[in-house]
Amino acid sequence: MGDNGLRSPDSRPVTGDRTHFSKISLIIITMKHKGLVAAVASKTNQPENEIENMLQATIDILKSQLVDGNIVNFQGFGSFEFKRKEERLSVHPATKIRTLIPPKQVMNFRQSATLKVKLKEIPHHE
Amino acid sequence: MSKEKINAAEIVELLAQHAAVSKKSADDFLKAFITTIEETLMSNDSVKINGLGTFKLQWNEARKSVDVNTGAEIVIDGYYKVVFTPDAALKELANEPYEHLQPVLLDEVETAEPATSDEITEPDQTPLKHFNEQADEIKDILSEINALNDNVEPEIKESKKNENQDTTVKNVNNSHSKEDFQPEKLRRFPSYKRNNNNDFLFIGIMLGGLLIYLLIDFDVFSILTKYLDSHRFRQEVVRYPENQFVLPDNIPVDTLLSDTSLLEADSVLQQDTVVLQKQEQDELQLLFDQPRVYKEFIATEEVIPGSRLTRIAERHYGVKEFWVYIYEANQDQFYSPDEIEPGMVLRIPKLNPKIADKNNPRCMEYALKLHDLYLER
Repeated sequence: MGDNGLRSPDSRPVTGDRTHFSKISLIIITMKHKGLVAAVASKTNQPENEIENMLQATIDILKSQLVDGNIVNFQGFGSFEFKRKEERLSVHPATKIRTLIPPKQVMNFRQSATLKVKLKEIPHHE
Repeated sequence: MSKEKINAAEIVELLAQHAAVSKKSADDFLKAFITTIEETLMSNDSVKINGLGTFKLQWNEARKSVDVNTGAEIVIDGYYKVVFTPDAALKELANEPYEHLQPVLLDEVETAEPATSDEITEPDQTPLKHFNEQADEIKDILSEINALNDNVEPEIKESKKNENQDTTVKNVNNSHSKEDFQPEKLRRFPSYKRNNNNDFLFIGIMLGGLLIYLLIDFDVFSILTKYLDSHRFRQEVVRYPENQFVLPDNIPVDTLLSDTSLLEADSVLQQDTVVLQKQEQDELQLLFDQPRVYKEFIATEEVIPGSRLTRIAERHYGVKEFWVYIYEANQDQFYSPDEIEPGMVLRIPKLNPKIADKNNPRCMEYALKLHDLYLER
């Protein structure tokens, strides 16, 4: 997962350099569902199928709590919430056609302050 | 709407119930779960969880800002931020209460604005309003008339009279009345005409059928040709007496038995028609072989989009095969007969009636021959 060889602490740009995003996206290896289950299983010394089962249960609980209108907070990580976006009027810049966009609810994740501090320690990748 | 905050401990409890595991293992799992995600993110990987979404790190660029209190310029360092992108299922779930709502186009803006401007100018034109009411009344009357569908004309006249009473708004009135009545008239008259046309067409077809039947039944064609040929023969016998000596071999027995003078006349008649036909054909062939020079024109026509040479020919000569002659007359404008372009002005030549005889199969044959010749080029 983590490849320390990719990091180069000294090359941290201060000014805006957009190109580095594409480079990062090439480097990033997405940890898929199965990889996560395997990693958690190895940590807790439990069989993978049980972890899979519990992960599914966690997701279900999280969803049901969110649907009920609650904020689900994981200490030290962040909180999940459904946020309502009010209806608004959008104007097409070219045709000047006005469109009424209806209200909607979106999933919102807000990282915790402690996670933010931790993340500050990561040097920027070129 | 006050939102209740659910913390990790409550989640653990629910999880233990839900997955039927001990609280401890549930707690262990959740901690391991969170830390694994965190660690993965720390090593700048993204984490994808099926049925939930993707956690990812986002680099926020360093930027200059101003201290709100002191007004001094400060630089906010670039930093990473965890962003969560919900997958499609979760997005839908989140938006469930509002999913029936659709964006509404409000492009009546343009139409609404002129309306308001009209309202501004309205006070000067109060008679117009008055008139509009009257127009509505007329429309109502018209709809009634439509329903009844009789005594149309008198009532329209009446309503027109009503309009004319109000002289102040006469002009506007008229324009409106035109708008009201024109569609009415347009609708009524063509249908009338069409009926008449149908009647005429039917009668024509019947008469034509009858005529053809009679012609076939009484063998009128042969009688006519015989009469004509005998007439011609009498004239020609004087000119070419030698025709009398040529007798065809296969004379029917009936004719032999009949009057000798008649026999003579008949046989010579047959011979003569053959000769005549030959002469005619040769004449035609000569005409065909002659280079055609078009000096007289019956019309000129500008090509419009979608028109074809064949259609133009059909319009002017009644036979679409004769397009070749139009083509010949306007050859200087064409590169190929297929390339007829809007804007070209075609001269429609006057044709020699002998060449352009649609009842003569040879003429048609020749036209088709030309057709093949020009299309091959």
